[in-house]
Amino acid sequence: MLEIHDLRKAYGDFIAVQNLTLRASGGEVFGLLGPNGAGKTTTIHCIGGLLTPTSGHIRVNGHDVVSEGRKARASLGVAPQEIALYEELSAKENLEYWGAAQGLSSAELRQRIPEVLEHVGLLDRAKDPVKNFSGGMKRRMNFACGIVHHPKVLLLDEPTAGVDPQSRVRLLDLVRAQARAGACVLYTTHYMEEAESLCDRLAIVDHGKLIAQGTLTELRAMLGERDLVRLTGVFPSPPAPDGIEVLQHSEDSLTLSVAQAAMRLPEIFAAIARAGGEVRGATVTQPSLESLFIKLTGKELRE
Amino acid sequence: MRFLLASARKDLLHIVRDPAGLAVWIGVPLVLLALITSVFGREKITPKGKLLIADQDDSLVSRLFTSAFSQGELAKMIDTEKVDGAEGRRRMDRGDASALLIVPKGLGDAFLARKPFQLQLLKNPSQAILPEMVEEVLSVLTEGAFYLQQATGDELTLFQARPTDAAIAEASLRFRKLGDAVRSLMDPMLIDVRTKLPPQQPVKRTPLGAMMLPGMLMLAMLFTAQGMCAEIWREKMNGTLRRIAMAPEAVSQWLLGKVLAAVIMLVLLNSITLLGGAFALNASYARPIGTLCWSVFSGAMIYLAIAALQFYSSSDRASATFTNLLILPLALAGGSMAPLESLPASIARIGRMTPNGAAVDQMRHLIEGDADPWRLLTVAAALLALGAVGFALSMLALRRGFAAEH
Repeated sequence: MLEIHDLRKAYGDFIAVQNLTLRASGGEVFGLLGPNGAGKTTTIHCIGGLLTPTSGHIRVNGHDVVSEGRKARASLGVAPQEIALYEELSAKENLEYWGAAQGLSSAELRQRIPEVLEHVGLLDRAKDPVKNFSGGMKRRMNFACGIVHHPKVLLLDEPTAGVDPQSRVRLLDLVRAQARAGACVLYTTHYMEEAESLCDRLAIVDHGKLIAQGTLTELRAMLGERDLVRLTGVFPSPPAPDGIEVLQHSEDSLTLSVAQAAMRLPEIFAAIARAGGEVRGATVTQPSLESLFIKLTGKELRE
Repeated sequence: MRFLLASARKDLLHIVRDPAGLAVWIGVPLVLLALITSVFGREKITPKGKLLIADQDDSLVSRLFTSAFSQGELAKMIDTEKVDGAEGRRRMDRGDASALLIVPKGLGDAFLARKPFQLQLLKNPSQAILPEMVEEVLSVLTEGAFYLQQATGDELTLFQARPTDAAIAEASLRFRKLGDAVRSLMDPMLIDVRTKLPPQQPVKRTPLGAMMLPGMLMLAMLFTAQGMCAEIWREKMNGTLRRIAMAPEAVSQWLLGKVLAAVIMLVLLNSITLLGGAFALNASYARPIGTLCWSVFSGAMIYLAIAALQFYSSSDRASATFTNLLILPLALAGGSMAPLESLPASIARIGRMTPNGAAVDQMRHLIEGDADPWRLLTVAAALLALGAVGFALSMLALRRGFAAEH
């Protein structure tokens, strides 16, 4: 359904996306993870035809986004990062407009709009102006406008940004429902928990480069079941007991990758004390996407 | 086409549901109408100028010359005031008068002695019509004086010295004979002049307020176009434009939808303004539908040109500043602040070459019913070309990723 091959997007000397290759199928939620500025939105813009790739190919539902742009875009649904709605218009009027933008006829819209509004739980607010909606309702409305035409490929660019936990759960259910209905969903986020709970497969990008790709199990295996130990205090030099990998070190923080960390904490503290350091705080995290990201990039996802 | 109509409907709904914005757009022309009415009223106003006269000769002849300006029709248009030369120059420097006429000492003697004489006229360069009128009248007077000198021969020299009663009586008789001789030539005329004039239309005098109507309407359209064009950046900032650019329907329909919405708004606003002009300013329209169509057409083309500016600005603030910087001088030169006819000739010439000025000029002719079809078509073609270039540049910016840039 969605194929990206060797995608590269450069702005002069700045390379926003570098040789990105990935493939996602119908019925699958594919997560694209990375910090701000990693190239996720640029990738989405290239898929949507907003930007022309510097090199590489993108096919949506079998259509090249450059040479068959209109056909490719007809298979796409988009829920952008922003609440891209007309706030003075009602929910129904917004859906009529975005449905028309997708080429739906009046008859199709008459049938589809109540379905979509019911699906996102806004049928009773159909005639209300969007400006009167809560943040979570606007997010659902933003999502509804992206699915009004039954897209085969759905691009969701951080669709839960800034919403309350309850609305987030509801939105994630809506995303799963789309995948169950056969859509290929490309989901960008920097919330690791969301990606872990939602995505079938994931790609981790940083500075425009793909740094890891696979299922959640495959990615976790890359950590080797090692815990992440984050320490704060004074660390003149990093300790190096056997079997401990230093992921990040500075004078006041230290991040380590350790198997069975809880058992080895006393040993680690002693090594730090011997080296003239002092531990003031410690956090142990079990293997997760977040710890994998730190392992791969040496920094936290939200930095 | 469906998306084009949906886009236009969306923009119109957006406008209608923002009562404050709509009130401003409808209010701008109404406020301008009210201002013009309060300043100029509904009456036919004759422009009035001030002529300062520095009569350094103060003779019978000089008084005859200068009194010509305070008689008949001229007196309705020109106020005369006697000043001395220095004060007259000071007031001219301040722009207080239309012209300063300096009658040099010795004019009377020179005239009576059949010698050449000179008058000095200083004109106010910021006024176009009245100083020209004063100059024309002076020219006629001096020409008349020359012929009088030629016709009366030496009789005038009699009046140089203080003549005796007998000399005056003798001169009077000679003038009488001269008059009789001239009458025999002129009544009936020896020359049989047959004048054939084309049927003349009655001269219309337009109220000044109504003269300002086309420019004022253009000013309101410029504000409306600016306001509607600001929506382009709003749509870019809130992400709707990006979403549209990722939809299969052409983004050109989105832009054309905006033009259609602008046209519908202009029809509404211009109808209100023209009706208001008829009511408040006593304006009468020779071609009301033609005037409305022309105003909407020119407004739509100018909208497209202003829209193109938005796509090439670096931010919403920059686009607003840039548009303001462009609109104000265009409005000034293009007859929106004062009728083109009242501007200095050089400014008016430049103004008529601006898109808004050319449109205002033709609108005025349509209102008066004396539009030259070829000139109208030429201006229409130029405006159409401007709109087409604006549309093409806008589309180019959209294709180059205007929607995607942050």
